[in-house]
Amino acid sequence: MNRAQKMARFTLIVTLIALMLSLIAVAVLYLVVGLPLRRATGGFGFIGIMGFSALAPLLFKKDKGKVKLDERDLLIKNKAMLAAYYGFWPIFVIAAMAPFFIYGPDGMVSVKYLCRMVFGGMFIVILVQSLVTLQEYGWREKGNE
Amino acid sequence: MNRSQKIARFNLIVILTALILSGTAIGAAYFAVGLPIQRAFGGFGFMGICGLMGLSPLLYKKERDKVSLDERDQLINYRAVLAAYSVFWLVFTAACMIPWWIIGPSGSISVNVLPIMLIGIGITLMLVHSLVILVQYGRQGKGEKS
Repeated sequence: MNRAQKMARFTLIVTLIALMLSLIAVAVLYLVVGLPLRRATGGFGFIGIMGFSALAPLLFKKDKGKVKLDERDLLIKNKAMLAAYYGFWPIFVIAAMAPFFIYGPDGMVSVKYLCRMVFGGMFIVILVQSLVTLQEYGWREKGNE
Repeated sequence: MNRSQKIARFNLIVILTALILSGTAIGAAYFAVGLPIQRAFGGFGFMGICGLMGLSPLLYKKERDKVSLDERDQLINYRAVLAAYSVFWLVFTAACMIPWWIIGPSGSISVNVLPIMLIGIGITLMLVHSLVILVQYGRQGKGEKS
């Protein structure tokens, strides 16, 4: 497994753990504790765990004596980035247009909605990028150091 | 000049025309006519001209008997898309966070801001994509044909 794969795998694990814990927390707060849904969505605070994905370059350092990237790695990196952004664009369009259709042209939304759009966007981009990187290299060990 | 360059040049001209006309209309409505700034912003209606970009694939059609893209063209397109999305991310984050800082965390904004943001970011994407394509090929024709 090469560095890009290890980083993608680590990021994917961190992202999925953050998502699962958030959903579990929201469900527990809503169904078990009986909080109203608005307060129960506070469980999404667990998404903060995703911040650990920034540690990936530190955990999987570049080896000084080795070639870091060849043409194939670059192509996979480019493909993963493009896929991430192409995946994010339709969701951004929906997120921007949905309040307009739901509340009508005179409606108002909290500025917090904009912040959620940024964090949601970041989540989608990181998730799709990791997934496509692993998919392109193959999910299992193939000795492609 | 090949097809990608022609499309990029056409898009760039359309976006810049729309921006110049919008800026002129807002300036004229605010300074010459004396409208309040909120009404003068109606001059942004000229941005609708950007819809003409949708015609570019029709104006510059693929020729059936020729190779439409080689590896270099693909790489240039890749780079242009990546540059556009890098700029997109910056603009998107700024557009989402600036209202939060200005209005405060308990403030609200009109839902009309969101589609305006979407259109603005879309136009910025197209502008950067076209510019990067033209810069990479060179802004003048060098004999590339497709």
